[in-house]
Amino acid sequence: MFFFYIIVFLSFSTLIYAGIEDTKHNLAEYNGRLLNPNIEGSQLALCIWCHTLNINTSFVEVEFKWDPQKPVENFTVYGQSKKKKILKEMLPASLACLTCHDGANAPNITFGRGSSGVSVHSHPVFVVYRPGTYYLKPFNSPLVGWGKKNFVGDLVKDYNGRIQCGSCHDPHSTNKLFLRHPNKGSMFCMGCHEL
Amino acid sequence: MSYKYTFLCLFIGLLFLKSTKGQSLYFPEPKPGVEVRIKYLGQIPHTAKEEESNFFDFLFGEKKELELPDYLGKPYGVVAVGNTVFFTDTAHAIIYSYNLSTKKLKDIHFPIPFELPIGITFSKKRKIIYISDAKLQKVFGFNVKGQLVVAIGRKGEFKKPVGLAVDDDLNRLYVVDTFDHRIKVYDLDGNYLFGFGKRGDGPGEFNYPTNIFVDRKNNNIYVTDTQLFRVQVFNKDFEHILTIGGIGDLPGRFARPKGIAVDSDGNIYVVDAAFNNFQIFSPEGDLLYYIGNPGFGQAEFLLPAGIYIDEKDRIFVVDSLNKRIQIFQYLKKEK
Repeated sequence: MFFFYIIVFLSFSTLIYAGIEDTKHNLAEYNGRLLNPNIEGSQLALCIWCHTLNINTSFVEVEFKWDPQKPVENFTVYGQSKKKKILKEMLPASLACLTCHDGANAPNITFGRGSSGVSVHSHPVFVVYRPGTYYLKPFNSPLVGWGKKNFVGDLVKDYNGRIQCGSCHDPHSTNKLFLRHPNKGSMFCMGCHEL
Repeated sequence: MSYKYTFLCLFIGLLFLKSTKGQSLYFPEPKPGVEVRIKYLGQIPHTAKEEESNFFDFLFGEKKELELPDYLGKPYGVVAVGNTVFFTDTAHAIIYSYNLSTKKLKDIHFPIPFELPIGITFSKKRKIIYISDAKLQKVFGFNVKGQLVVAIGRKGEFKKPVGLAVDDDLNRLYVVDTFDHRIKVYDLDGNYLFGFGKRGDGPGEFNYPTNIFVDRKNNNIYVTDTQLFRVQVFNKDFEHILTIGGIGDLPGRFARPKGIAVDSDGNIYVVDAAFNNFQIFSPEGDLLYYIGNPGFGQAEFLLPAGIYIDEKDRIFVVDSLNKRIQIFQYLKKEK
């Protein structure tokens, strides 16, 4: 099963690979060489920085020395669990961004209200998209040149009705700030906001 | 008629379950043949029992999300000095102090307008608290009165200073320069001594290292090499001793290792923000245990960051999205 996933993954990966290679999200390449995080080179090496490698527990011998009887299971990565939903406003995909964007590895992403009551974040995030408020367009407004996102609704409906990191950003994009559409002439802003 | 009794029994059973839930947590779970090593102590800021959910919530398993204090943004670094815990808030650029006995939280006023304070550490010998600011690209040292006594970071000296550690025996201050992939060593007055490491994947090479800790007993240096998913251990002469981890979602491996600390028996604690837990390794690098799952309950984490272990073996883990610091106690064996 593991190899099946790899094959499916590889068939999609070449497209994305070409994009991510020249961006800051390429954390693997240094001096024309891919740094090796314990797996044999290849294009996979670029992906596993975010798409954490899933390893079958039966392939590796692991035990907890303090409690050898404790069953060894894979960790849930970014809180992504089929059994229970952890946060109602924040998706695992957004948590994935925040694991690096903590101020240490990558620019700090802050949100919510500051100590003085003003927002410390530039654009609201993890809030419900309400058409009509803040000159926001209705869900069925078309988007042109936004890749697979054809309507404004796709930007939030694919998530949970709330604006996530992925509503505006595609980490695989080559656009400035990894935006889903270049912001030349405020074209990005006008995807959702009425002029 | 009997269904009423069934419901009554169920209700009593549930109540009983609920009451046992509030007891203190031990790791590994107490059972025959397994020694308990770690105890859950509590959290900062202190909140009374968070279970305020009503009867129906409790019946249908609806878990109320914690009321998060607004004044706390995104904590990262932590250090404990006696009974006072200091931690950095990267969102509001504030340093907080919390007194464990009076349970009072204060923001400290320093003569420096911080922009992105991250790392924090303390020199017991010199009574100086060191704070790194990743945006100002400087490391500051303050005395107990809050006066600036050390300032490191001429233009271009740091690319992004993050992790800090002090070695009082050797008079050293270690600064992890994340974007320079290098550990820079200063004396406690802030004079540059030497540096080690460069970008790469070999032993002694780093790819965006972030946090650092020094073993008080043998002066070993522990560095999390975050973007190569591993931990490297060096002796005090900067010779590479050990590498732990590698990519993967299995216990013993990492996805986003951050804070690192060592207890008085030399066990290594590594926080992982992607797994929302911390893993414990023996001084030889063998996996001992892990604590934590994603969530907001006791011993559950969301985006944990820094960790610190004080001389009394109290473990302070920053739980950044839950805006708190969770405290554990390592139960040392008398030998």
